[in-house]
Order: sequence, then structure tokens, then C-alpha cells
Amino acid sequence: MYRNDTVLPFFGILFGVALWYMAYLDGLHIARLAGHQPEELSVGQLGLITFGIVFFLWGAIGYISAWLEGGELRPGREEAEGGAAPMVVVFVLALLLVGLSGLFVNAVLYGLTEGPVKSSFMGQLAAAILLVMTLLLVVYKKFFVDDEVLVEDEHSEVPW
Amino acid sequence: MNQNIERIEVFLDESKEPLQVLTSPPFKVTLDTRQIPDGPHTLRVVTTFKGGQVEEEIIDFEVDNLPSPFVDGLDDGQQVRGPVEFEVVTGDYAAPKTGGGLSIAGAVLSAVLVLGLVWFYFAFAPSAKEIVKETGAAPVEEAAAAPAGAGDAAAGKAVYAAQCASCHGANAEGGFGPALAGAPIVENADQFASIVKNGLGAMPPFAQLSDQEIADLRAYLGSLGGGATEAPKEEAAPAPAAAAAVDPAVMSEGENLYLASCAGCHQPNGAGVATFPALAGNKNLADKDLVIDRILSGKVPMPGFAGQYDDQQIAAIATYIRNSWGNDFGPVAPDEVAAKR
Repeated sequence: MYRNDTVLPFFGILFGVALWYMAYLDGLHIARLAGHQPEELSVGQLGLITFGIVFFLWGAIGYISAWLEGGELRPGREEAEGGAAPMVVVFVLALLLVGLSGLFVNAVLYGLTEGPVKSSFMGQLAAAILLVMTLLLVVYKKFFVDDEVLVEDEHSEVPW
Repeated sequence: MNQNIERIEVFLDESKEPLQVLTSPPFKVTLDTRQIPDGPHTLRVVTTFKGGQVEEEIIDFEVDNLPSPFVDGLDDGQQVRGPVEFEVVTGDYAAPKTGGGLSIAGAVLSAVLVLGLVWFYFAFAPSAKEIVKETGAAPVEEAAAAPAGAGDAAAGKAVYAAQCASCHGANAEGGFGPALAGAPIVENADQFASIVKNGLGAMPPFAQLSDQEIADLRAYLGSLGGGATEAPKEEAAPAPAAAAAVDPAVMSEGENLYLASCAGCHQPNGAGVATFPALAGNKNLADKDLVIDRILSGKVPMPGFAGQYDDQQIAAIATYIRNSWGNDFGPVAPDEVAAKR
């Protein structure tokens, strides 16, 4: 197993999804016992969802590392590929980012002047902005940043 | 410029012959390095002044017109396995520079311009505002949106029916108390509020009413106009059709109790407001036990009504909310309430 292997990340994501599904089933069970759909999540559901998120993120980070650096790290320098296609992707993502942030400002102004804005809408906008920023960073790192792998002793217990 | 300079001689390396002799400014020298071999060279600048004094300056430099080839793809000390592919690159420094196009400043400027325009469009354009309006705008509650001073006549009617109708008549036409429809007192907000809160003569104080409720009340009475004998009928919808299996007398009792104790939060039309849930179309009302429990015990911030109403009254309220505004979940019997106490 190499440091950037996708075996552990795979199981991380699998466990994450399984925990989310357990939380969903828990909700169905509680609804059946109560005779109606509860208005809030139970403590058990919150715990399952929290650990689901942790495992999912753990796995996602592992997959991103494997994609960025390759499954097996070999000592040496690696030049960034660059190229026109990643450039276009970066430009499209940048346009999307400024568009979304402009929309966010618009929504804030709308909330101030005309009436309430759904908080779920604001939350989804903010989440989309962060996601696009992450994608930008990932694409930039993958295609425009040179990499160098040095040989050193294994210190870490974390598999990537 | 120093006027004492007689001449400047420029020598290359060990040559005895000067490369160039300069006697007057500008003292500019052109040296074509392609005419001399690559490697270290020395430039000797001998300045002779008018008094005969001589000053010599020596500059070492290196000519590199023919660079050695560069190996791309295989580094010094690199470990390799299997077939290795690399390229021998030879630079031609004399070749004219290709590419160019946009300078860095130009690229940054145009990026800022394009991205800024897109941002500006999404932030301030009316069409982008439409996007926010259609996807993000929360439904505006009438009661929440109304300014505090302006009352809601529909809500006022509910308050009136619960608190005032027994004395002032169902349509404010007067009874034990004076007629209020079109009465001058309704025009004066401060006096009206003062009488409602503190009472007057035989009328008891209604300190439990909020300012908003009093404003609503005033709006309702104002909407009746002078000598009105008939209340507006817009609130006539509740239920009888939907609740065919339900006793109309129970429904009527339930409606009165609902308007008195529940409508303040859940609204007379059962639509709810802010965090107070809607009862109209609420599927949780199908659960009889939940409805009875909630009315008896409440749930923060809703108070329980177990101490305030008897089984018959709570059954009436439960029956009313389960069979109004399009709900059709059937009646609740007082026995069922008693069993939950």
C-alpha cells in the first residue's frame, strides 16, 4: 500500500455514506414509532451524520491527494503540465466564482431593501462559492504548480 | 562632463591596438560579442587627462553566445527505471524572441476588467435581482410585513370575536356596551388603546392584549365604518363542508376557543407565522395523540392548556383544527382527551 493509495479513502467514503444512510433509516424508524414526522433531528441522527461527514471528508481528501500527486510518490521533480484546457477550466471557474459572489451580494442587498431571503438560499450560495474556490485551488495545484518529492523516513501514521 | 579628458582608449584583452578611441562625448562604445570567442575576456579603459595624467580601469566579463546543450527529462543523480525518454535542448540566443502578445500587466488588467464586469452584473443588474427574487426570496408573511402601527383587520376580527363581541355585539352594533362600528373613539389611537388596556366604567381592562392586537382591533373596527351591521365575510371559509362527519356545534365551540387562545400565534386562518407552525395542511394533525398532547402540554414556546380548558373544550379545539382550512382528519372525542391527561 502506497502513501497515496485510494484503498482507505474508498472505505472512508463508504463508511460516510453508510452512516448517512443509517441516519436516514433512524429517522424513518423514529417517525414510525412516533406516528408522525418529527420536526427536528434526534441526538442519534446528529451523531451519525457528524461521523458520516468526518469519514466522507477523510475519504475525499485521500482521493484528491491521490489525484493531485499520483498514487505512488517517487522521488524527483515533476514539472506542471500546464496547457490550454486547464487554463480554460480556470477561467470558467473564475467566472463562476465572481458570478456567485456577485449574486451573494445581490441577495444581501435584496434582504436589506426588499424583504427576507431564504437562509437556505444564502447557505447554498456560500457553499457553492467555497466549492468553486476549492476546485480552482485543486486545478491550479494539479496543472500549474511544480512538484518535488523528497526521500525521507516514514514519520506519520496517516496514510497520505 | 569632465572637460579635462583628452581621450579615452578602450582595449580588449591583451591587444595593443585600442578597440576604439574616444575624444569627445558621448563616450559610447559598441562591442559585437559575436566577433570574439566565447569565454572570459577583459576590457581595459585607459583615460588620458589634459595634464598627462592616466587612469586605467579593468572590467572582466564573460561572453556566452554559443550555450552548451541542455538535457530535458533526465536530471543529475536521478534514479531511472525502464526506458527513459529525454530531449537535448539547444538554445539559440540570437534567434528573435517569439510569442509575447499580452504583457503581464495587460493580462491582469483585462482579467480584472472581465471578472469585475461579471461580478458587477450579478451584484447590481436588475435581471440578477430577478434571479434572487425568484429563487431566494422567502415568502413574506402579511402580519410580519405590516408595520407595527398599522393593524390587520382580519386579525382584529378574531380578537374582537374573542374579547369584545359578548358586550359590544357580534358586529360591533352595540349591546351591553356601546356600539363601536364607526364610533369616534376608533379614530383616536392613543385613547382607544388606553380604554382597551385600562377599561372604562363597567368595561374591564384588557391588559393581556398586545399593542399589535389593539392596532388590529382598531383596524377591524375602522373597516366596519359608520353603522355597519354586517361584518366582512372573508373569514367565512372554515370548514363545514370539509367536516361533514363533525358536529357543527363542536366546530363552532372549537372555533371560538381557537380564536381566543390559538389564533394569536397560529393565525385565524391556520397559516402560522414565523416559527409558529401552520396548522392548515399540516399532516402531523392526522396523529390524534400528538394533537391532544400538544394542546394539553404545549411545547416551548407554546404553553399547555390542560389547566385552562376541560376535556370537552380541548376536544372541540382539536376537532376544529383537524377539520378546518382544508384539513379533514375527523373529530376528537372528550373521552380521548381524558385518556391522555
